[in-house]
Amino acid sequence: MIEPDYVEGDSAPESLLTLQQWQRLSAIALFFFCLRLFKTVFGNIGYLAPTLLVFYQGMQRYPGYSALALAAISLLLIGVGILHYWVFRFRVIDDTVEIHSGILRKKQLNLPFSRIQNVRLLQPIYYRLSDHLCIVLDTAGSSQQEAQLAALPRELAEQLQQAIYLAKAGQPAVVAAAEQQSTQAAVPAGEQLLCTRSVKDLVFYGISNNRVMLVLGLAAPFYKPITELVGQQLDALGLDVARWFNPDLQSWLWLGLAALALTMLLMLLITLLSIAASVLSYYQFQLWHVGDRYVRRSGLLTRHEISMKASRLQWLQLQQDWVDKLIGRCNVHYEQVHTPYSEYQEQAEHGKIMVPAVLPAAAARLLAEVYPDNQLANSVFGTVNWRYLVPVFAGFCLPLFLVSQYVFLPTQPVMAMASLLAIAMLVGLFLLRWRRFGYAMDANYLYIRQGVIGTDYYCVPLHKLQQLSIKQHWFMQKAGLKHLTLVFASGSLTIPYMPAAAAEAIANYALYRAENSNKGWM
Amino acid sequence: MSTDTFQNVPVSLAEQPQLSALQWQGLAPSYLRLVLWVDSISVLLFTGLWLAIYLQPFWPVNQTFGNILLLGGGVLSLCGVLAIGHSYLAFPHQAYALRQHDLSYRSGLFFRKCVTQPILRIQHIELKRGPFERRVGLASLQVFSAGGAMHTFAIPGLTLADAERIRQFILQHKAGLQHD
Repeated sequence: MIEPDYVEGDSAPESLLTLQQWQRLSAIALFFFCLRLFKTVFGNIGYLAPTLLVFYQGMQRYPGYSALALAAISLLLIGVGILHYWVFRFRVIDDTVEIHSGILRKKQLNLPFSRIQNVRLLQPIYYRLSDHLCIVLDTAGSSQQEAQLAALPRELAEQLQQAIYLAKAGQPAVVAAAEQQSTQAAVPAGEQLLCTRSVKDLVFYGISNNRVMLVLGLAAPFYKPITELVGQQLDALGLDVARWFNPDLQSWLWLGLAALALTMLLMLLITLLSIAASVLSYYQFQLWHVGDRYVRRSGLLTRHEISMKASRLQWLQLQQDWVDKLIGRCNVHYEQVHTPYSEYQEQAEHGKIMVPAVLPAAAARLLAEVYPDNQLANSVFGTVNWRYLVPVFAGFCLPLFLVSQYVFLPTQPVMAMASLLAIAMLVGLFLLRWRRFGYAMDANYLYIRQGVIGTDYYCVPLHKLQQLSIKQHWFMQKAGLKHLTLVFASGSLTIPYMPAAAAEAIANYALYRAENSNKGWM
Repeated sequence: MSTDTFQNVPVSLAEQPQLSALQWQGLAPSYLRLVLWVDSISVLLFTGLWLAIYLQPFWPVNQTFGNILLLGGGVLSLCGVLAIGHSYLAFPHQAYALRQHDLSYRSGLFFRKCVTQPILRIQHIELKRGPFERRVGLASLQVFSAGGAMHTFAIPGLTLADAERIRQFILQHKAGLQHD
């Protein structure tokens, strides 16, 4: 099975030719396999928590044995990792990546270059010293068919990536790779650095991004141990927090101030965490335009390289939440073909390219680089009809108002006033959202503006359209309004309650562009 | 305020084919009969079921549960009857249209919906025939694009001959484009 498979008389670069024999990964992949195993075993420990609690008591009783058991488990995992490494063999032959793997259940994977959609390179921190890379080959199919070559020397990895991309572009890979190698000394033509992000920018992104709530949610199981731990520490320092919040001992004003201070402190901590997360994943962010691809490189510990074929780009989104607006930044999303189930994949985010916290002018430059003929800045946006507000007001705000007043007004006038205020704010936000909604179209693009306090802009090339639908109910018919939904490979965009004539004009023109432009969508 | 301020009209708007000029073809009349039959039998079966539970003498239901059963079952059965009426009234609005480069399907009585699928963007086609459809010689046509499973384009209630003709038309269209 491990017979070498030489091809005589081929003039391809020797390094790539060596891949034609069955071989193992570089030895450093051992780390990778073991770590991955540890991660899968201990990453799922949350589910085992109740069982572990039982063991915990046992561990306290027999610390020696438990340490031994832990060591045994670790040794076992390392052993399995080594086995994984040992049975993993691959070769690259006839424009196909072939992989044999699996200890008990043998797995053979044949992956022709043409089926590989994307080649991602990552560099975990322990690969830095020896300069190895991990190659992830994404296919359009399910995540099960994703293949990983855990460790190759950088030069070889980059050559393989080039060979795959060139083969997809229609050239015989080996020859192309040879050409590429002969010109490697020079800077590859058409390589352009579009954008870099400094740590300061990443701090801005960390402050503004909404993942704060996510972190809070994820940390929920640890609230209790954390508060207990903090309580012990505070006790040790001689601070009695419980006393601060005891209404018998403190005045209401003091209580309110203490609560406010604690909330602020918590928010500050969370924001710091968010900043750290942002720096971790976007450190030394670089966006390149290399040939027909956009390439994003970033990461503090594990360096990721993600590339996206320019033709697969479906639209560009300039996103600005309210915090972004406060600090005057926005994020640029390059949305590409949405692969099925990718939301559930651990690395869904890595298929996307997002430039964090750029100044609006820089965002406009990025947009102009992708779509040079876009007219976003000069567009006059059409607005959606006020009837857009009727369902949310009648179906949500009004019932909320009636119920809250019915419940609170007789007994708790303060609460009634407070809920009235909250509902008024809600109404205000809905009004803002309605005012913000806008659409415009020129010869090539559809522009959509939406948001509440911040503003998101979508710039969508019309010829990428996959499908469209127009909807209308009785009341809209009377008012001459329609909902227009445009479906693209990256998702769907809806313009609600727009004038029927405009909806039809956009629909007709979008169909005409999709059917007549002879341009592909990917 | 006025919402008719849409300014950025493409230059040759009037020259593009208009969706409003589509020539709609109704679905097969046997599809309406099939839908009405299947719906009616389902409603009758459901009503029979809850009535049987309510009236059976073996395990008498207590007062509260009986009331819930009567009310819930009654409301659901009434909804079923209304749905049958809706199917009947909505049928004339269900129609499809073929153009050289796209398929359209419209439906709905209160919520009028019209979906248009450019043939160029079709990934693959399926003819679906359930057991009842097979009996009356009907087929549904499903068309998948890269827009995802949420946006599968489907025309129900076609005669088998029509469905196969549309499929052939799509395949030829795509083959023709590949030869260009």
